[in-house]
Amino acid sequence: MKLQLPQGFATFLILAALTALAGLCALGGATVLERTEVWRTRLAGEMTVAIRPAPAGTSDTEVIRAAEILAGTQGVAEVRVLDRSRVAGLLAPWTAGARGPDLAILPRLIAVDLDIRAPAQRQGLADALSAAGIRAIVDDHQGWRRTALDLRRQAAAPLLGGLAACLAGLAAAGSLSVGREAERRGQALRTRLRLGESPGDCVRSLFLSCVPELGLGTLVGGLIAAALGLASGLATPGANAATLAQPAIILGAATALCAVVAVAFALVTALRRTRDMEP
Amino acid sequence: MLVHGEAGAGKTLLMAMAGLALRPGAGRIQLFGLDPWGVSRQGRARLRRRLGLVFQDLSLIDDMTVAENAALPMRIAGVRPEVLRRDVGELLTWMGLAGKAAARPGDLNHDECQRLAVARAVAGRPEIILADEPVGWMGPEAAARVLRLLLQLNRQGVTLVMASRNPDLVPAPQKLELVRGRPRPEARP
Repeated sequence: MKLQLPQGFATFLILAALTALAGLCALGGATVLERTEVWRTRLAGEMTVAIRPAPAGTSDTEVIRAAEILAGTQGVAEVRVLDRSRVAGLLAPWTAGARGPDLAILPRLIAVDLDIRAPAQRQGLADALSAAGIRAIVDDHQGWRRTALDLRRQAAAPLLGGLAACLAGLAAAGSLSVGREAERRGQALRTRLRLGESPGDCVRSLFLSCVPELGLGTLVGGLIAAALGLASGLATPGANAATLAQPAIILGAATALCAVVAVAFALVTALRRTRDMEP
Repeated sequence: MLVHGEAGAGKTLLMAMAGLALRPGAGRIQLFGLDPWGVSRQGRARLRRRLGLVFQDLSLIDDMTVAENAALPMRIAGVRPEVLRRDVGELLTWMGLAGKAAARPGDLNHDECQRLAVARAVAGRPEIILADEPVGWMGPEAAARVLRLLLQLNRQGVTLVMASRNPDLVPAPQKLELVRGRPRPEARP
Protein backbone atom coordinates (compact mmCIF):
# COMPACT_ATOMS: atom_id res chain seq x y z
CA MET A 1 0.00 0.00 0.00
CA LYS A 2 1.38 3.40 -0.97
CA LEU A 3 2.00 5.69 1.98
CA GLN A 4 0.25 9.03 1.52
CA LEU A 5 1.76 11.86 3.55
CA PRO A 6 -0.41 14.88 4.37
CA GLN A 7 0.19 18.00 2.25
CA GLY A 8 3.31 19.79 3.43
CA PHE A 9 4.30 17.04 5.89
CA ALA A 10 7.43 16.12 3.94
CA THR A 11 8.60 19.75 4.05
CA PHE A 12 7.89 19.89 7.76
CA LEU A 13 9.81 16.67 8.34
CA ILE A 14 12.85 17.74 6.29
CA LEU A 15 12.99 21.15 7.94
CA ALA A 16 12.64 19.67 11.42
CA ALA A 17 15.40 17.11 10.79
CA LEU A 18 17.80 19.61 9.24
CA THR A 19 17.14 22.23 11.90
CA ALA A 20 17.78 19.62 14.60
CA LEU A 21 21.06 18.65 12.90
CA ALA A 22 22.06 22.28 12.45
CA GLY A 23 21.21 22.97 16.10
CA LEU A 24 23.22 19.98 17.31
CA CYS A 25 26.14 20.99 15.06
CA ALA A 26 26.07 24.49 16.54
CA LEU A 27 25.67 23.22 20.09
CA GLY A 28 28.33 20.51 19.72
CA GLY A 29 30.69 22.93 18.01
CA ALA A 30 30.24 25.57 20.67
CA THR A 31 30.76 22.99 23.43
CA VAL A 32 33.94 21.58 21.85
CA LEU A 33 35.37 25.04 21.22
CA GLU A 34 34.46 26.20 24.70
CA ARG A 35 36.00 23.16 26.40
CA THR A 36 39.24 23.38 24.43
CA GLU A 37 39.40 27.07 25.30
CA VAL A 38 38.90 26.29 29.00
CA TRP A 39 41.64 23.67 28.77
CA ARG A 40 43.94 26.06 26.92
CA THR A 41 43.33 28.84 29.45
CA ARG A 42 43.99 26.47 32.34
CA LEU A 43 47.19 25.27 30.67
CA ALA A 44 48.28 28.85 30.07
CA GLY A 45 47.77 29.66 33.76
CA GLU A 46 49.94 26.80 34.94
CA MET A 47 53.52 25.58 34.64
CA THR A 48 55.00 22.29 35.70
CA VAL A 49 58.48 22.11 37.18
CA ALA A 50 60.23 18.75 36.96
CA ILE A 51 63.11 18.25 39.39
CA ARG A 52 65.57 15.93 37.72
CA PRO A 53 66.33 12.86 39.80
CA ALA A 54 69.83 12.76 41.34
CA PRO A 55 71.76 9.51 40.93
CA ALA A 56 70.96 8.63 44.53
CA GLY A 57 67.32 9.76 44.15
CA THR A 58 65.72 13.15 44.74
CA SER A 59 65.27 14.04 48.38
CA ASP A 60 62.08 15.57 49.67
CA THR A 61 64.14 18.43 51.11
CA GLU A 62 65.33 19.49 47.69
CA VAL A 63 61.78 19.41 46.34
CA ILE A 64 60.49 21.47 49.25
CA ARG A 65 63.34 23.99 48.77
CA ALA A 66 62.43 24.28 45.06
CA ALA A 67 58.79 24.80 45.97
CA GLU A 68 59.72 27.57 48.41
CA ILE A 69 61.86 29.32 45.79
CA LEU A 70 59.06 29.10 43.24
CA ALA A 71 56.48 30.37 45.76
CA GLY A 72 58.67 33.37 46.42
CA THR A 73 59.06 34.26 42.76
CA GLN A 74 57.06 37.20 41.43
CA GLY A 75 54.09 36.17 39.27
CA VAL A 76 53.43 32.87 41.06
CA ALA A 77 50.13 32.50 42.88
CA GLU A 78 50.36 28.98 44.29
CA VAL A 79 52.71 26.02 44.30
CA ARG A 80 51.72 22.37 44.77
CA VAL A 81 54.17 19.53 45.14
CA LEU A 82 52.81 16.37 43.56
CA ASP A 83 53.53 13.27 45.64
CA ARG A 84 55.36 10.30 44.15
CA SER A 85 52.24 8.17 43.58
CA ARG A 86 50.52 11.03 41.76
CA VAL A 87 53.59 11.48 39.56
CA ALA A 88 53.66 7.73 38.94
CA GLY A 89 50.01 7.91 37.90
CA LEU A 90 50.63 10.81 35.55
CA LEU A 91 53.64 9.15 33.99
CA ALA A 92 52.17 5.63 33.95
CA PRO A 93 51.76 5.62 30.16
CA TRP A 94 55.50 6.16 29.81
CA THR A 95 56.74 4.01 32.74
CA ALA A 96 54.69 0.93 31.82
CA GLY A 97 53.24 0.73 35.32
CA ALA A 98 56.57 0.52 37.20
CA ARG A 99 56.17 0.44 40.99
CA GLY A 100 58.21 0.38 44.20
CA PRO A 101 61.91 1.28 44.02
CA ASP A 102 61.64 2.02 40.27
CA LEU A 103 59.72 5.17 41.11
CA ALA A 104 62.91 6.71 42.53
CA ILE A 105 64.13 7.34 39.01
CA LEU A 106 61.08 9.46 38.22
CA PRO A 107 61.37 13.24 38.39
CA ARG A 108 59.48 15.05 41.12
CA LEU A 109 56.84 17.41 39.80
CA ILE A 110 55.71 20.75 41.16
CA ALA A 111 52.57 22.37 39.77
CA VAL A 112 52.82 26.14 39.67
CA ASP A 113 49.67 28.27 39.41
CA LEU A 114 50.51 31.63 37.92
CA ASP A 115 49.19 35.00 38.98
CA ILE A 116 46.80 35.81 36.13
CA ARG A 117 47.35 39.56 36.47
CA ALA A 118 51.12 39.38 35.96
CA PRO A 119 52.11 35.78 35.29
CA ALA A 120 55.72 34.70 35.77
CA GLN A 121 57.69 33.73 32.66
CA ARG A 122 59.20 30.30 32.09
CA GLN A 123 62.74 31.69 31.92
CA GLY A 124 62.26 33.60 35.20
CA LEU A 125 61.35 30.40 37.08
CA ALA A 126 64.18 28.46 35.45
CA ASP A 127 66.70 31.18 36.40
CA ALA A 128 65.48 31.29 40.03
CA LEU A 129 65.88 27.51 40.40
CA SER A 130 69.22 27.49 38.59
CA ALA A 131 70.57 30.25 40.89
CA ALA A 132 69.72 28.03 43.86
CA GLY A 133 71.62 25.12 42.31
CA ILE A 134 68.53 23.04 41.59
CA ARG A 135 68.50 21.07 38.35
CA ALA A 136 65.00 21.43 37.00
CA ILE A 137 63.03 21.67 33.80
CA VAL A 138 60.28 24.27 33.65
CA ASP A 139 57.46 23.32 31.30
CA ASP A 140 55.11 26.14 30.32
CA HIS A 141 52.76 23.68 28.52
CA GLN A 142 53.42 25.24 25.13
CA GLY A 143 53.11 21.81 23.49
CA TRP A 144 49.73 21.10 25.09
CA ARG A 145 48.50 24.61 24.30
CA ARG A 146 49.44 24.06 20.68
CA THR A 147 47.56 20.75 20.78
CA ALA A 148 44.50 22.52 22.20
CA LEU A 149 44.72 25.15 19.47
CA ASP A 150 45.10 22.45 16.79
CA LEU A 151 42.10 20.64 18.23
CA ARG A 152 40.04 23.83 18.04
CA ARG A 153 41.13 24.39 14.47
CA GLN A 154 40.47 20.79 13.43
CA ALA A 155 37.07 20.66 15.13
CA ALA A 156 35.91 24.02 13.82
CA ALA A 157 36.11 23.13 10.12
CA PRO A 158 33.88 19.99 10.10
CA LEU A 159 31.43 21.57 12.52
CA LEU A 160 31.13 24.69 10.43
CA GLY A 161 30.89 22.50 7.33
CA GLY A 162 28.09 20.46 8.91
CA LEU A 163 26.24 23.61 9.91
CA ALA A 164 26.67 25.06 6.42
CA ALA A 165 25.44 21.79 4.83
CA CYS A 166 22.37 21.81 7.07
CA LEU A 167 21.65 25.42 6.21
CA ALA A 168 22.04 24.69 2.50
CA GLY A 169 19.62 21.77 2.95
CA LEU A 170 17.17 24.05 4.71
CA ALA A 171 17.41 26.56 1.91
CA ALA A 172 16.74 23.81 -0.62
CA ALA A 173 13.82 22.49 1.43
CA GLY A 174 12.29 25.97 1.67
CA SER A 175 12.69 26.50 -2.08
CA LEU A 176 11.29 23.06 -2.91
CA SER A 177 8.34 23.62 -0.63
CA VAL A 178 7.33 26.80 -2.42
CA GLY A 179 8.12 25.27 -5.81
CA ARG A 180 5.81 22.32 -5.15
CA GLU A 181 3.10 24.60 -3.85
CA ALA A 182 3.45 26.77 -6.95
CA GLU A 183 3.06 23.68 -9.15
CA ARG A 184 -0.04 22.67 -7.25
CA ARG A 185 -1.59 26.11 -7.42
CA GLY A 186 -0.12 27.12 -10.75
CA GLN A 187 -3.44 27.43 -12.57
CA ALA A 188 -4.89 29.57 -9.79
CA LEU A 189 -1.82 31.81 -9.85
CA ARG A 190 -1.98 32.19 -13.62
CA THR A 191 -5.66 33.10 -13.39
CA ARG A 192 -4.94 35.65 -10.69
CA LEU A 193 -2.22 37.20 -12.82
CA ARG A 194 -4.57 37.35 -15.82
CA LEU A 195 -7.20 38.97 -13.66
CA GLY A 196 -4.86 41.81 -12.83
CA GLU A 197 -3.08 40.75 -9.67
CA SER A 198 0.55 41.79 -9.72
CA PRO A 199 3.23 39.09 -9.30
CA GLY A 200 4.23 40.76 -6.03
CA ASP A 201 0.73 40.34 -4.60
CA CYS A 202 0.58 36.72 -5.78
CA VAL A 203 3.83 36.02 -3.98
CA ARG A 204 2.24 37.03 -0.70
CA SER A 205 -0.45 34.34 -0.82
CA LEU A 206 1.87 31.67 -2.18
CA PHE A 207 4.58 32.47 0.33
CA LEU A 208 2.24 32.80 3.33
CA SER A 209 0.76 29.37 2.64
CA CYS A 210 4.22 27.82 3.15
CA VAL A 211 5.24 29.83 6.21
CA PRO A 212 3.40 27.61 8.77
CA GLU A 213 5.25 24.51 7.50
CA LEU A 214 8.58 26.34 7.51
CA GLY A 215 8.02 27.87 10.96
CA LEU A 216 6.68 24.71 12.58
CA GLY A 217 9.45 22.58 11.04
CA THR A 218 12.24 24.81 12.34
CA LEU A 219 10.61 25.16 15.77
CA VAL A 220 10.21 21.40 16.21
CA GLY A 221 13.76 20.86 14.92
CA GLY A 222 15.07 23.35 17.49
CA LEU A 223 13.18 21.59 20.28
CA ILE A 224 14.51 18.19 19.17
CA ALA A 225 18.06 19.60 19.17
CA ALA A 226 17.48 21.02 22.67
CA ALA A 227 16.19 17.66 23.94
CA LEU A 228 19.06 15.72 22.35
CA GLY A 229 21.57 18.30 23.60
CA LEU A 230 20.29 17.92 27.16
CA ALA A 231 20.20 14.14 26.94
CA SER A 232 23.75 13.88 25.59
CA GLY A 233 25.19 16.26 28.16
CA LEU A 234 26.04 19.02 25.70
CA ALA A 235 24.05 21.20 28.06
CA THR A 236 24.40 20.17 31.69
CA PRO A 237 21.17 18.59 32.91
CA GLY A 238 19.88 20.00 36.16
CA ALA A 239 22.21 22.95 35.89
CA ASN A 240 21.16 26.34 37.07
CA ALA A 241 19.70 28.96 34.76
CA ALA A 242 23.01 30.71 34.18
CA THR A 243 24.71 27.48 33.02
CA LEU A 244 21.85 26.65 30.67
CA ALA A 245 21.66 30.16 29.25
CA GLN A 246 24.59 29.77 26.86
CA PRO A 247 23.45 26.55 25.13
CA ALA A 248 19.91 27.94 25.03
CA ILE A 249 21.18 31.08 23.29
CA ILE A 250 23.24 29.01 20.84
CA LEU A 251 20.28 26.75 20.04
CA GLY A 252 17.92 29.69 19.75
CA ALA A 253 20.33 31.47 17.42
CA ALA A 254 20.87 28.32 15.31
CA THR A 255 17.12 27.73 15.03
CA ALA A 256 16.45 31.37 14.17
CA LEU A 257 19.21 31.24 11.55
CA CYS A 258 17.64 28.09 10.07
CA ALA A 259 14.23 29.74 9.98
CA VAL A 260 15.65 32.88 8.35
CA VAL A 261 17.52 30.85 5.72
CA ALA A 262 14.49 28.69 4.88
CA VAL A 263 12.11 31.65 4.78
CA ALA A 264 14.48 33.84 2.76
CA PHE A 265 14.99 31.16 0.12
CA ALA A 266 11.28 30.37 0.06
CA LEU A 267 10.54 34.05 -0.54
CA VAL A 268 13.08 34.27 -3.36
CA THR A 269 11.64 31.10 -4.94
CA ALA A 270 8.08 32.41 -4.62
CA LEU A 271 9.09 35.65 -6.32
CA ARG A 272 10.87 33.88 -9.16
CA ARG A 273 8.19 31.24 -9.75
CA THR A 274 5.36 33.75 -9.78
CA ARG A 275 7.16 36.07 -12.15
CA ASP A 276 7.93 33.13 -14.42
CA MET A 277 4.21 32.46 -14.68
CA GLU A 278 3.38 35.87 -16.05
CA PRO A 279 3.28 35.86 -19.86
CA MET B 1 -17.81 44.12 -31.06
CA LEU B 2 -18.23 40.50 -32.05
CA VAL B 3 -15.27 38.41 -33.24
CA HIS B 4 -16.51 35.32 -35.03
CA GLY B 5 -15.12 32.55 -37.16
CA GLU B 6 -14.86 28.81 -37.43
CA ALA B 7 -13.14 26.69 -34.80
CA GLY B 8 -9.37 27.17 -35.10
CA ALA B 9 -9.71 30.57 -36.75
CA GLY B 10 -7.75 32.22 -33.93
CA LYS B 11 -10.51 33.82 -31.87
CA THR B 12 -9.27 32.49 -28.52
CA LEU B 13 -5.68 33.45 -29.36
CA LEU B 14 -6.75 36.98 -30.28
CA MET B 15 -8.79 37.33 -27.07
CA ALA B 16 -5.91 35.98 -24.96
CA MET B 17 -3.53 38.52 -26.49
CA ALA B 18 -6.06 41.34 -26.07
CA GLY B 19 -6.46 40.28 -22.43
CA LEU B 20 -2.67 40.30 -21.95
CA ALA B 21 -2.68 36.61 -21.12
CA LEU B 22 -0.35 35.96 -24.05
CA ARG B 23 2.44 38.08 -25.46
CA PRO B 24 2.40 38.46 -29.23
CA GLY B 25 5.46 37.13 -31.05
CA ALA B 26 5.10 39.83 -33.71
CA GLY B 27 2.99 42.93 -34.16
CA ARG B 28 1.86 45.44 -31.58
CA ILE B 29 -0.98 45.72 -29.07
CA GLN B 30 -2.25 49.04 -27.85
CA LEU B 31 -4.51 49.21 -24.84
CA PHE B 32 -5.90 52.45 -23.40
CA GLY B 33 -3.35 54.25 -25.55
CA LEU B 34 -0.42 52.32 -24.04
CA ASP B 35 1.85 49.51 -25.19
CA PRO B 36 1.13 46.99 -22.39
CA TRP B 37 4.33 45.05 -23.09
CA GLY B 38 6.40 48.21 -22.92
CA VAL B 39 5.35 49.08 -19.36
CA SER B 40 6.46 47.51 -16.04
CA ARG B 41 4.88 44.37 -14.58
CA GLN B 42 3.03 46.53 -12.08
CA GLY B 43 1.84 48.78 -14.88
CA ARG B 44 0.64 45.77 -16.84
CA ALA B 45 -1.18 44.46 -13.75
CA ARG B 46 -2.93 47.86 -13.46
CA LEU B 47 -3.97 47.65 -17.11
CA ARG B 48 -5.35 44.13 -16.58
CA ARG B 49 -7.47 45.42 -13.71
CA ARG B 50 -9.31 47.61 -16.20
CA LEU B 51 -10.29 44.50 -18.20
CA GLY B 52 -12.94 41.90 -17.44
CA LEU B 53 -12.07 38.50 -18.87
CA VAL B 54 -14.22 35.46 -19.58
CA PHE B 55 -11.91 32.65 -20.66
CA GLN B 56 -13.04 29.75 -22.77
CA ASP B 57 -11.46 27.38 -20.25
CA LEU B 58 -13.18 29.47 -17.50
CA SER B 59 -10.06 29.38 -15.27
CA LEU B 60 -12.01 29.27 -12.03
CA ILE B 61 -9.95 28.76 -8.90
CA ASP B 62 -10.85 25.44 -7.31
CA ASP B 63 -9.54 26.35 -3.85
CA MET B 64 -11.95 29.30 -3.60
CA THR B 65 -15.69 29.32 -3.08
CA VAL B 66 -18.10 30.64 -5.74
CA ALA B 67 -18.39 33.96 -3.86
CA GLU B 68 -14.62 34.26 -3.50
CA ASN B 69 -14.09 33.52 -7.18
CA ALA B 70 -16.62 36.16 -8.17
CA ALA B 71 -15.11 38.67 -5.74
CA LEU B 72 -11.51 38.14 -6.86
CA PRO B 73 -11.23 41.15 -9.24
CA MET B 74 -12.79 43.41 -6.59
CA ARG B 75 -10.42 42.09 -3.96
CA ILE B 76 -7.49 42.70 -6.29
CA ALA B 77 -8.77 46.23 -6.89
CA GLY B 78 -8.88 46.82 -3.12
CA VAL B 79 -12.66 47.24 -2.76
CA ARG B 80 -13.82 47.54 0.87
CA PRO B 81 -15.06 44.18 2.30
CA GLU B 82 -18.61 45.41 3.08
CA VAL B 83 -19.04 46.85 -0.44
CA LEU B 84 -17.53 43.70 -1.88
CA ARG B 85 -19.94 41.42 0.01
CA ARG B 86 -22.96 43.49 -1.04
CA ASP B 87 -21.99 43.71 -4.72
CA VAL B 88 -21.04 40.06 -5.01
CA GLY B 89 -24.31 39.04 -3.35
CA GLU B 90 -26.29 41.09 -5.88
CA LEU B 91 -24.27 39.77 -8.79
CA LEU B 92 -24.63 36.12 -7.79
CA THR B 93 -28.39 36.62 -7.35
CA TRP B 94 -28.61 38.12 -10.85
CA MET B 95 -26.64 35.15 -12.22
CA GLY B 96 -28.84 32.65 -10.40
CA LEU B 97 -25.96 31.48 -8.21
CA ALA B 98 -27.02 32.99 -4.88
CA GLY B 99 -27.73 29.55 -3.40
CA LYS B 100 -24.28 28.29 -4.33
CA ALA B 101 -22.18 31.11 -2.89
CA ALA B 102 -20.40 28.81 -0.46
CA ALA B 103 -19.91 25.97 -2.95
CA ARG B 104 -16.66 25.26 -4.78
CA PRO B 105 -16.40 25.39 -8.58
CA GLY B 106 -15.98 21.62 -8.58
CA ASP B 107 -19.51 21.27 -7.21
CA LEU B 108 -21.08 23.27 -10.10
CA ASN B 109 -22.18 22.04 -13.51
CA HIS B 110 -20.65 23.58 -16.63
CA ASP B 111 -23.53 25.98 -17.15
CA GLU B 112 -23.15 27.32 -13.61
CA CYS B 113 -19.35 27.54 -13.97
CA GLN B 114 -19.77 29.64 -17.10
CA ARG B 115 -22.19 31.97 -15.33
CA LEU B 116 -19.68 32.29 -12.50
CA ALA B 117 -16.93 33.15 -14.99
CA VAL B 118 -19.12 35.92 -16.44
CA ALA B 119 -19.98 37.16 -12.93
CA ARG B 120 -16.27 37.35 -12.13
CA ALA B 121 -15.54 39.24 -15.35
CA VAL B 122 -18.10 41.95 -14.64
CA ALA B 123 -17.54 42.14 -10.87
CA GLY B 124 -14.61 44.52 -11.06
CA ARG B 125 -16.59 47.09 -13.10
CA PRO B 126 -14.12 46.86 -15.97
CA GLU B 127 -13.85 49.34 -18.82
CA ILE B 128 -13.52 46.56 -21.39
CA ILE B 129 -15.05 43.09 -21.15
CA LEU B 130 -13.38 40.41 -23.27
CA ALA B 131 -15.62 37.35 -23.39
CA ASP B 132 -14.57 34.20 -25.24
CA GLU B 133 -17.65 32.06 -25.95
CA PRO B 134 -19.42 33.45 -22.86
CA VAL B 135 -22.62 31.47 -23.34
CA GLY B 136 -21.30 28.50 -25.28
CA TRP B 137 -22.40 25.81 -22.81
CA MET B 138 -25.43 27.54 -21.33
CA GLY B 139 -29.03 26.64 -21.74
CA PRO B 140 -31.17 29.15 -23.73
CA GLU B 141 -32.67 30.78 -20.64
CA ALA B 142 -29.34 31.28 -18.81
CA ALA B 143 -27.66 32.41 -22.05
CA ALA B 144 -30.37 35.05 -22.63
CA ARG B 145 -29.99 36.30 -19.09
CA VAL B 146 -26.17 36.57 -19.33
CA LEU B 147 -26.28 38.27 -22.73
CA ARG B 148 -28.87 40.72 -21.39
CA LEU B 149 -26.49 41.59 -18.53
CA LEU B 150 -23.53 42.06 -20.86
CA LEU B 151 -25.51 44.25 -23.27
CA GLN B 152 -26.83 46.29 -20.36
CA LEU B 153 -23.26 46.93 -19.20
CA ASN B 154 -22.38 47.86 -22.80
CA ARG B 155 -25.17 50.42 -22.84
CA GLN B 156 -23.76 51.87 -19.62
CA GLY B 157 -20.47 52.57 -21.40
CA VAL B 158 -18.47 49.36 -20.99
CA THR B 159 -16.75 48.22 -24.19
CA LEU B 160 -17.78 44.67 -24.95
CA VAL B 161 -15.72 42.36 -27.15
CA MET B 162 -17.16 38.88 -27.58
CA ALA B 163 -15.78 35.92 -29.49
CA SER B 164 -18.13 33.24 -30.76
CA ARG B 165 -18.62 30.81 -33.60
CA ASN B 166 -22.15 32.19 -33.92
CA PRO B 167 -22.06 35.39 -36.06
CA ASP B 168 -25.59 36.27 -34.89
CA LEU B 169 -24.97 35.88 -31.17
CA VAL B 170 -25.70 39.56 -30.46
CA PRO B 171 -26.62 42.55 -32.60
CA ALA B 172 -23.08 44.01 -32.54
CA PRO B 173 -22.35 47.33 -34.25
CA GLN B 174 -18.94 45.95 -35.30
CA LYS B 175 -18.16 42.42 -36.40
CA LEU B 176 -14.79 40.90 -37.21
CA GLU B 177 -14.62 37.57 -38.96
CA LEU B 178 -11.40 35.62 -38.61
CA VAL B 179 -10.29 33.09 -41.19
CA ARG B 180 -7.17 31.06 -40.37
CA GLY B 181 -5.85 33.70 -38.02
CA ARG B 182 -6.50 36.70 -40.25
CA PRO B 183 -9.47 39.06 -40.59
CA ARG B 184 -11.44 38.76 -43.78
CA PRO B 185 -10.52 41.89 -45.79
CA GLU B 186 -14.09 43.04 -46.24
CA ALA B 187 -14.78 42.40 -42.57
CA ARG B 188 -12.08 44.73 -41.13
CA PRO B 189 -13.58 47.03 -38.48
